[in-house]
Amino acid sequence: MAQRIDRDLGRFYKIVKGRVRKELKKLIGRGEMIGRKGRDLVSIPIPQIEIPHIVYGPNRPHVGQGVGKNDPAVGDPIGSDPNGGNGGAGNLPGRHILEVDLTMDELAEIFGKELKLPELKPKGKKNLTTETDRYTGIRRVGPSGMTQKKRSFREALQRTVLSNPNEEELDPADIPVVISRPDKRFRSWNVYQDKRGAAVIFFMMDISGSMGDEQVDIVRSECFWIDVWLRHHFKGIEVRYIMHDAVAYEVDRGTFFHTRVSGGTKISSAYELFWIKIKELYKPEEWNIFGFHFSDGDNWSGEGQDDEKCLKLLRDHILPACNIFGYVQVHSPYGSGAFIKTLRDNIKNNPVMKIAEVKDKDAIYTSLKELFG
Amino acid sequence: MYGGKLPRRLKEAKYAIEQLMVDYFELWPFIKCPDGSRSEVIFEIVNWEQMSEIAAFGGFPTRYPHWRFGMEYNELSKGYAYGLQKIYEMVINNNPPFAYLLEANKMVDQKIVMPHVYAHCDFFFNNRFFKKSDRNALNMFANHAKKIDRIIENQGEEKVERWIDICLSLETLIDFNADAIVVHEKSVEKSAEETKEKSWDGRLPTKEYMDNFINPPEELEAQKKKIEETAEKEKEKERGLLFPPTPERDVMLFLAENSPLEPWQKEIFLIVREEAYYFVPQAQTKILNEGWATFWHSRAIAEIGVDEEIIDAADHTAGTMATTLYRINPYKLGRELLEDVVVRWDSHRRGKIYEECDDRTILEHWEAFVAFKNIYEDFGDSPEKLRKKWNEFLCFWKAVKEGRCDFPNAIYDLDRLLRHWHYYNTIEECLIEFEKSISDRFRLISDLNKKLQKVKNDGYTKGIEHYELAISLVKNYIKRLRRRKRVFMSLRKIQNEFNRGALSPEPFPLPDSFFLHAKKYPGKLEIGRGLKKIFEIRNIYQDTTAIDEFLTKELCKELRLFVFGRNPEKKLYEVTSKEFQAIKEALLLGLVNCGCPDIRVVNGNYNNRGELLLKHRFYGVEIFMVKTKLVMENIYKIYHNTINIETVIDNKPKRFSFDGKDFKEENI
Repeated sequence: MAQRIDRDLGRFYKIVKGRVRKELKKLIGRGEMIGRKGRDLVSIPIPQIEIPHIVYGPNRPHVGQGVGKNDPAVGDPIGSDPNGGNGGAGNLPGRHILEVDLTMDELAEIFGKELKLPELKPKGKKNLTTETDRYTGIRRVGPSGMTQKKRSFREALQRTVLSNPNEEELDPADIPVVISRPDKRFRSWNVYQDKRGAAVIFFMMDISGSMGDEQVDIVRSECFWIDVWLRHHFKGIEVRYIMHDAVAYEVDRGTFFHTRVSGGTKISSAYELFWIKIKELYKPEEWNIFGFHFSDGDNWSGEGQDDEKCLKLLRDHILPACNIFGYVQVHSPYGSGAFIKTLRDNIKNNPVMKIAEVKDKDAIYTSLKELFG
Repeated sequence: MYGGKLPRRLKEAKYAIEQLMVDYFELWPFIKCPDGSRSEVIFEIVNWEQMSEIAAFGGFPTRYPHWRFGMEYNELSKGYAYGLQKIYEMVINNNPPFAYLLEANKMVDQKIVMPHVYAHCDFFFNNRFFKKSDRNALNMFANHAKKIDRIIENQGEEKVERWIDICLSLETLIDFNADAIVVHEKSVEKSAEETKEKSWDGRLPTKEYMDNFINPPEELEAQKKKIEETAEKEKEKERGLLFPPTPERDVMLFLAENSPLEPWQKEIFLIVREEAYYFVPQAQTKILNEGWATFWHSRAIAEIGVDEEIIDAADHTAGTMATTLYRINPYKLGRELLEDVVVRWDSHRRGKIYEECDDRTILEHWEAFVAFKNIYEDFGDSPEKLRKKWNEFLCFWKAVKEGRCDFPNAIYDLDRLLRHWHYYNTIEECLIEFEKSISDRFRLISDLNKKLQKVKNDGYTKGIEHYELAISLVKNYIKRLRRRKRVFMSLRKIQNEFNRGALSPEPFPLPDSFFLHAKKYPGKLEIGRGLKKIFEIRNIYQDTTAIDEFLTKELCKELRLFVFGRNPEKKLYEVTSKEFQAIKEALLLGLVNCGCPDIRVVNGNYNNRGELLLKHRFYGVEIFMVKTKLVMENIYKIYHNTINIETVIDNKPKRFSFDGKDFKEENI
């Protein structure tokens, strides 16, 4: 329903999105601040947008009131001051944190603009989508054969009740309703995109002991933003997770982020499983395939020469099949970090292969630019 | 204007409630129109989106375009959607007043909300701080919106938005204590006589315990020095060298008149200033206004009765009066303050006789003491008469306590004992008044019946409904009067029973201390003045003066108030004090000057280079320099010259300056 406030509300949202863009770098480093609301919305905390005024400082005294049986004594803590500088969140005095709701699409747009990322083009035939019509809609005109009787009756009933000045006098069991032309409703069709020709993302992660909590957090953030960006381009995206140490397993999301083993690492196991999955389920001619591998760069260096195996898998099978294959090396104090050099030295000038290195949370921003820029 | 008209049930409820508030409670929520009639309160039903919109716009649907309204709306509608807060009603201070009711309110909610609305109107139209308030503000805001729209057409949206942002940051730099806004055409120069300061030691008049707050010793020292300098300044003034002649509290006015602004900038600047001034009385009386409305809606509900809906009613009231640990709820504080005044003025728990009393027996039986005191004043010279009257009091007390002689036991309350004792002693007068009231009403009914008959003969159906409704309302009123009258009748019966010797006294031994204390403070005690007193408060007080005068130590304890502040080392907020003085000071800090620091223009030609010098009057609490610097940047964009501000940070007087590029800090 259009309201007078819509103009000002729209302007406010515009300013807010600008703010999100400014804060994006900070946000990318701290992915956990973003809350998901249902399937489509994200909730982003940004510092309150406000007009500055001359006010008393944050050390000023406030008056509070005990609630219920609660009667605090001198020295009792009331609440923490998380920002440590300019006031806390929630009920406490000081700066509010404003929570903004954005759709995934809006977030992706801001992301793309801020990082100056080019639009992703689907490969070849894969941008063909088929449309189908399904009769799930309603409209006010149509052939008599398509009348939606229930809706029509409801409209007529509504009209009768509203136009009666004494609504109290109507007996719900006995209202005279006549369906006239403006009340009639008819079935109509809606257009649906076929899921064929969509995209699939494979996230692969080294879960050996050298990947600690901090590293996994970084991977989590990277996965979130990759997901946001790709979803923006392809409707109906599928996401699959492969974790590996010396052996690779496909798992669900929860397991992917929470499993830790202590053992050796054989990266080829993951690449091999990846290739098998592609072969079986996702025909490269029909699917846009994206693969991302996260590891600390420590690969099996014993006999068997796992590095060679990896390179062979990449060159011969994986890279030709994917739109993008990204390798992200997360810095870990325990890993040697040698694998990235292997890749860089041996795979050159391949537009599909993207290599990035992430030292800490703040480097996530640059790594995303490398992957998609 | 906005939403739907009241449906029939609510319209009937409206008339009943109006009659209750006006006739029975004696509120006066009306303005006299020029033709002698009185303004109606116009109710409209709106849904929650419309309600949030009205609230976001501050009550006036046509405002200039700005994102702050969008932001406010976003917060309000989110609050509603997540069940965090609900605005049940909005009352617009206008002639006629508009009241918006939330469509989703149940009937019981509306029954609570409508008396609340009437009480708000009563407050708006009787409190002196609203006397000069523009009752046609709808027009003012609409005109402002039109003007700004025109300017946007000429100057562009973004330019205007950025300028409005700048102006808005100065919204708090006005004279909150001005009686009314000073129109900008008036000259800033005042005659030398007007501004001559009489000989004065620098102290501002205040109560003893407020002294340190209003007259901190360091400030007094500074003041003394200033008095010496003032003599110098007087000479400079006469030579026309001081500009402005006295520190100007209305910083916005000073800037408007002395800054190089383009006409469109000045126009917008003055609009923002005018609107800021419009809302000042409302900000200054928030606690009293909400307290007043809550006080009366509780009384109204008690009269109307809610039957099965009692749970919802309690829920509603609890919701509006809910406290979170960190925020004072104005509804609760205001209402508790007023209720406390009623009790204290009814039972004379005030003045030296109460404050200087430290005898526990007397304090625990204060009502008995007051009754005794007045009897003592009347019959002090004749111990026999005194004993007789005292005995009568004890018999009366026992009788009402036990509900003898049809005294409705339900209304027995120690708080009201003295009031009933007062009625008991003036029974005949009271009864005569009642008879008159009731016979007046019967006459009114017969008049109405005659009119009804005529209208029936004419076949005018709407008129029939109207008169039937009016008659039923008067009949209800008579019922209420009769209920009250029954109380008086029972008091008279008690009197008769006492005279017959048929009553026994309440077993309360008369302590000697009563005699001693009564003797110490001569003069009869006025009792039963509670309601009268709060009407007085409604008329002449604002939040600061009301808290200053009526907040007591006991009330603070009862409300469990405390002072809390930030502990920078531990990075948390903690309780710092529960002392009455500290609580009061902290409360007043947030109320005086509408909670804003005292900033004045001291010199418009500082350093003889046309710089602006502002001074923060430091009373113990520092200003927030981070935000102040942002405001200084904004003022620079207006004054186009260096902005200086003197304040105290870390117990050291400092001067901060901004020259358009950098900030400088100096110790003074």
